[in-house]
Amino acid sequence: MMKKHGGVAAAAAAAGKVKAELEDVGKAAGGAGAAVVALSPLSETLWRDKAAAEFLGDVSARLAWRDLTVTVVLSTGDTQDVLQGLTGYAEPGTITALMGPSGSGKSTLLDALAGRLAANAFLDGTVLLNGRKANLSFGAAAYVTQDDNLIGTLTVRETISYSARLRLPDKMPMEEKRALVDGTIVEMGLQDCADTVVGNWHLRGISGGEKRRVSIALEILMRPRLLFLDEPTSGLDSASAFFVTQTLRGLARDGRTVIASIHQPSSEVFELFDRLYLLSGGRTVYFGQASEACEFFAQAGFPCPPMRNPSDHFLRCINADFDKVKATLKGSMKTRFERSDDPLDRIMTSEAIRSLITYYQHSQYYFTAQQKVNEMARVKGTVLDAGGSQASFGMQAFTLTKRSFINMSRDFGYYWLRLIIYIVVTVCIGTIYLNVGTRYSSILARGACASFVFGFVTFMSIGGFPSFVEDMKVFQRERLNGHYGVLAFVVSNTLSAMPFLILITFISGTLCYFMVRLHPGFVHYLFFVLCLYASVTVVESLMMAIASVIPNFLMGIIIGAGIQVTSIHPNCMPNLIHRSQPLFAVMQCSQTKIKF
Amino acid sequence: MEYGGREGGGGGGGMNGGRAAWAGALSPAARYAESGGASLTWENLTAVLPGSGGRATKKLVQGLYGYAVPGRVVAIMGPSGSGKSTLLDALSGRLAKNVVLTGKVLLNGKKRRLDYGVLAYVTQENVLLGTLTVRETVTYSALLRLPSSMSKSEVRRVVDDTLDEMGLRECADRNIGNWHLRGISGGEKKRLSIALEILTRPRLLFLDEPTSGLDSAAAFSVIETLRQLALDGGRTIVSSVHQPSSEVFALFDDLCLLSSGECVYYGDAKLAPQFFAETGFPCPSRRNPSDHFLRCVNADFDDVAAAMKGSMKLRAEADLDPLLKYSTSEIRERLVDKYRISEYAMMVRNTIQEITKIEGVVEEAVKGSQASWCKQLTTLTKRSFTNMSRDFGYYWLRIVIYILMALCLGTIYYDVGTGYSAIQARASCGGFVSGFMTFMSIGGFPSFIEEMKVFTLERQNGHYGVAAYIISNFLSSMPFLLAVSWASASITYWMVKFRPGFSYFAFFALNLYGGVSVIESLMMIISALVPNFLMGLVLGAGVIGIMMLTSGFFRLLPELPKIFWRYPVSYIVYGSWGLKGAYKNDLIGLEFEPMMPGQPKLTGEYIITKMMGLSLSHSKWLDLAMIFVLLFAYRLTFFLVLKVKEAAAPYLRVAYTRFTIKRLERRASFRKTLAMTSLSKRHNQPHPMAIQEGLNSPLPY
Repeated sequence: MMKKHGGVAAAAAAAGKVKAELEDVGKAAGGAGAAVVALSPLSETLWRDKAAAEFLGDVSARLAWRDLTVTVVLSTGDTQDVLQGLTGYAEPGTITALMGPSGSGKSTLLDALAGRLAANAFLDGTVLLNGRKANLSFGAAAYVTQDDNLIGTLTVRETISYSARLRLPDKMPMEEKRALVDGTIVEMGLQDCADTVVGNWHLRGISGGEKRRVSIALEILMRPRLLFLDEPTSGLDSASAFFVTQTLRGLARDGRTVIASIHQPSSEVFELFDRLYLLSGGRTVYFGQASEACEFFAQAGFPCPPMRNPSDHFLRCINADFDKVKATLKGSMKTRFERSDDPLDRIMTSEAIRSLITYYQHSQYYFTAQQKVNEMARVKGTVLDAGGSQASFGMQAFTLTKRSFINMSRDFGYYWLRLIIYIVVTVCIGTIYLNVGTRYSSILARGACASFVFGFVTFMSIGGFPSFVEDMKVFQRERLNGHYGVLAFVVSNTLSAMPFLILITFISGTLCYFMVRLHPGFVHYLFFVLCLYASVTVVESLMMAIASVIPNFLMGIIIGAGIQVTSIHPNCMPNLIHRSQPLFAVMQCSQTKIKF
Repeated sequence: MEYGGREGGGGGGGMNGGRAAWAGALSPAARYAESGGASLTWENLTAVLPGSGGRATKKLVQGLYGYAVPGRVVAIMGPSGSGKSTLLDALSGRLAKNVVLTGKVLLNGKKRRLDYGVLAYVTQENVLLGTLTVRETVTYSALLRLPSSMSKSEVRRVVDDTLDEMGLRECADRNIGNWHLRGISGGEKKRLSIALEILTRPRLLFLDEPTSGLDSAAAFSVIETLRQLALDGGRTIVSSVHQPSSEVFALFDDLCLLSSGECVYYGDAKLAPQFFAETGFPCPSRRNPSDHFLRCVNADFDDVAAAMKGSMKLRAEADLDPLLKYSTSEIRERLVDKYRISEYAMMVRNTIQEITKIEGVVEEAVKGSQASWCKQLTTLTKRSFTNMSRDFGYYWLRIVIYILMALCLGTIYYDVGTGYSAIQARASCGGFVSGFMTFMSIGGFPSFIEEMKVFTLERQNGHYGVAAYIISNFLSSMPFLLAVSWASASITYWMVKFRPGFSYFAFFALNLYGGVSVIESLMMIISALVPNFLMGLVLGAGVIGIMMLTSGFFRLLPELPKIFWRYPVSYIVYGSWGLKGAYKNDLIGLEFEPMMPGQPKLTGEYIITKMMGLSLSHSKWLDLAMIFVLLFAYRLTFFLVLKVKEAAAPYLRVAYTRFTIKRLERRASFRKTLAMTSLSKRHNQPHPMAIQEGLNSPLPY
């Protein structure tokens, strides 16, 4: 999406300038054979309402970075340069692949460009988007992470259309939204599996490649001009990887700027990249056309042998781990390296890396890149305003509630499993305290019964913890991409859980109440059940609070159980600490119950 | 069998010396076979999954010929679902019971069952205890399986040799790593898994996708190591591999390329590009041959092409890839037909015949472990103890929580005294200790599941028995459970000021220990019964809850309904015994203030018999003894469950296979390629819960 910032006069001036540039770019790109400004028919639907009112400028994104250095402060207090003086650019209509052995800094570069660096990393240098300092946090650029955090119980179409409703403007008519969703499904080649569930631990769903494409589909829904992907092909087989990359190429050809970090692409996948950024140890080994990289390596003295995937060859040349492997093998065995015709077997990989880096810095590729970046820095383009949600808070909360409710009702482990256990346990309680009566001994029995029901039933809330952790992951991803706010999430979660908690507490409360024959009278019964509901909700919220604070599942469960056990304790306690606990509420409920 | 110093020679050379005279007439592969060791040949191998209930019979692999000879590494390649794993399973005798296998698998020219000892199988998943170091892992495994008669120094030598052979010397003293410990890299883990399998010097080594999930350098190191094993040890190595990189592919000697269960190529890996070129699909110069082969035979590319045609962007890209002109299935057909009549296929058949003619040495199979039962038990106990003491989540975290809880309890019931209200307070304090404190045992569940995984794998390979495992687990956990119960008991005991006297305190602590171990055993039974973590957790909590309910605290024992709850349940639940013991321990001999001042003081005996409704007919020590009887009974149940599970496993696997196929049929994206669906479990795993694969955090790192 685009929006004009600044005064009206400035906007008008900028519009004129942009128009001129637009034509320039169009001419320049003509040679490259890619239609830079031509959007796909689908992309245009989104702009239609805006285009009428405003001038639709050059909506492509040109990203350039110069002398980028990232320093990380380690926990020991030392600093380490993860990236050193990187210069490069990404143009609309192309895919740029960031490649390098593991630990070479490709993810860091991607994060730096997308404005997602960790808190302990410091960025030095400039990142320019359309010639202006870029601010790309929370949704300004689409970023597809390596792991697919999707809600497993939704179908592909549901996943995409909920996301659409969360982010598209409220005033956009439903049919248009639907058309956009359908278009995205077709664009990502997901037609065949559109009505299959994504799949989770107990539901079998779509394949890994399909999941990856759903993740990408979610990000391109808002038609961003700039797309970052972190290892989109890792963990996929060659056909799926090819498909994903082919799709990315299609997206790029629509005039988008696609930047992806890639780990070991297969031969077919490698051929799909336009530009290659090769990193080793945080330094540039090569930046230029992917098809010219072979030539560069040959010039530098490391020609790619026949019958070799060029990308395998590049990585072989710049992966310092091979030195270690060779040393280990030499040290431990009677090694016989027969392939001595390979120049790499004669020199250390670290030397190869050094000579490649030096060679690159004096090569024409380096100077071309510098020149191009300078050029791009001079031309001030439009300010892109992508990503973030345009839906109102009400719409977000409503959609999230609906989505969360569907997820809960389909996920067997979220509430259904617990419901079964609750029913079984309450039937046990019911038979044990069957018809408790009003004898002297019943006094104690009634008290114990109530404390057990409240204590145990709330304790079982930890059973939902794993599902909640999964939910949190989806939330984190969407939050980072600016799909919705924290408040909408909390509200929707509370609302969607309500019917289930009511169902659970009413069923188990009723069973227990009438089997034990507690105080007759509807009001008393209602009070009992509502009390139970309230305490389960409190404990549920407690577990959520724990899930958002405690970084680890196991710790979460143990600590949650610990806190609960201390707060469940049904007897009189010293006023000092325990009474003043915030968790006192749970206990309070059980006490109220005993009182009446 | 002889250990150590076996490398290089290949063994058994003397027997074949006489035949060297006509070795010149043999094909190169047969010459390798003649050097001794294990040569495996298979002819016309077809694996069929019989259809039932109206479903068609499925051919998983059909008409495969091939050989594996000492000193060479055979790579089985193919797209997912092409039958790689079926072939590997068929050769190693691990096929599912309901799959019908026809054809001949010969070892050194003789038909025989391939047992452990001759054969080692490295699974795709590395199942290792993360807290041990590399050397410890290998040493424990050696102690578990090598004959007990071997001296310590001999064992050490075998371990050192193995570590050297696998290039693990540098990381020998590093931890493997788990969810909270940083450990060795993925490649090192894989080499360690291989090291464990070659400890007993098997002649035949099978590996299932050893490079998956590794980066190119690590994959290279693993395969290069395998090559060295083949060359130096005269071993026969068969490995399935998925998308090798160029360097890795160059390391394989023989290649078996499968597609939809049919052989596209078998023979020397170096000659494969030639075959493809002759058939009309030459490998482009800037391409990894293995990528090219897979591209040619992977029918999924057809789906990709179809889906792309449907989506808007095919445009002018069709000419990008010449292979897109043909559909992959056409290419595949042509390749399969061409191969069948090619000289490569002829060569393979001739070689098989030559190999079968050679009389090889058939080694005596060594079944499972050679170590004595006692040796296994001590080794397992030691290993398990080391693991528990290093894993923070296993017991340490729980000890911390227990101590905190004990402090809470101590402050709540601080100096409980002997007033009238203290009667109830003492009772509920006892109830709380035996009830809720034991509840926390579910915290160790994840670590325990990790350990069970290791057990399942080692058990499958016959490293030790179920009994040894259960006893060792009991023994190694004992110090921790004692520490847990002792620490929390002493805090509570002195803060609450229960009655003074060491024997009372000792009883209290032992009672707690008994309770915690019983619950621990219960959780083990549950973890053996339930396939997944979440179910185990919820079910465990439910069962413990019901146990607490019948323990006599929430409802007095005499008031429990007689049927079911009183008679079987309250007796088989540790809680009732624990509470009885705790009450007797605490109350007998004490006097309490009466409800109204002036009335006679209440004695402990009166309270127990009249207010709690318990009889004093037996002593508290008998109650304690009963808890330990229960402990024994629960462990026995655990043993029986594991045994029954093992006996039932084949039937379960059959059912699972059927179920899988049924499910796959329902899946839209699989419907068209059903013939190639893989049967093995490993490719069809549903997305596991995050917790099961490494206890991930809900927050980004």
